[in-house]
Amino acid sequence: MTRRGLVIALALAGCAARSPAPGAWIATAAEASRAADEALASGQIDLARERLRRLVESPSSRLVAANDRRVILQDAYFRLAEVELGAHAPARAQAWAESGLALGVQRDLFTANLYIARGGARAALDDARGAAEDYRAALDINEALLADATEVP
Amino acid sequence: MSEDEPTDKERAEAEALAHALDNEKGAAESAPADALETAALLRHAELSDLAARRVFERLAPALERRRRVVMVRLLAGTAVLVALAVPIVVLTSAPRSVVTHAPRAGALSATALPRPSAQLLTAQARAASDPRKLQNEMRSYRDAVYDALAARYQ
Repeated sequence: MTRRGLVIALALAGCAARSPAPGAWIATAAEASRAADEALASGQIDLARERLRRLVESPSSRLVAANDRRVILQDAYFRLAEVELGAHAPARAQAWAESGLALGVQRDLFTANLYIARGGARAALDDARGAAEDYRAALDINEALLADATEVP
Repeated sequence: MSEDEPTDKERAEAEALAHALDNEKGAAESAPADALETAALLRHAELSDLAARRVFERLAPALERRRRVVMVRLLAGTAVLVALAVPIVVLTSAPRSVVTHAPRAGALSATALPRPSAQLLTAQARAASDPRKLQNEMRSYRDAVYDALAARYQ
């Protein structure tokens, strides 16, 4: 085995060892989400922001399916954007929404939520055209999901 | 003495050549140099196989040592790879407790999440004008999503 091969193998083993266990990461994300709910209910916006920010910035488990990771993280980014919109900070809201969309655009509820949040941020920033585009994208997904939800099996 | 009959000197050289071909002891001492060279040349073709065998025999211990070194290195490399692979396989095979839903290493499929209700989707469609309704609907849907994920990755 060459020295280079050994280094690569050790790096792979190290990455797998550092990744949180999937169940633990899911539980941590659920706990952070609930804590953010409680903080928002009691008006502690800073605390809610902190819990959600920690969730998106901490290492996620590589042993969770990529789409499952995306769903959890996009929902947290959506909530962060909502928090910033509520705090009248549309630029920060737009940044969070774009971070969420950067994880991947899918035809699902979570992507549509991020379009809505970014649309709200753009509207607050007087970007009417950008806001309209985002709302349009959200509605396209929403209509497709609504058709799925109401279809007769 | 006729011209066809060998001289005494020629007889002596012939005998020396015969002794040299027979590789007799003492031949080298009495035989003239040209007789020894001739004998060596005559023997060369027959002895090539033998010479090769002798060369191989002389090199065999060194070749065996080299083979052992290569084998030891191969075994050591294999041991290192196995030692590295075991934790990777163990970690990437988790979770093991959920047999029916456990994702396979390298082929993690997305969890089947609950479908959003028509009520939630309606709230989403109106979120631009009424964000609070969407937030309320999302809370219960989020719980259902986390329940599904927890069931799979427990």
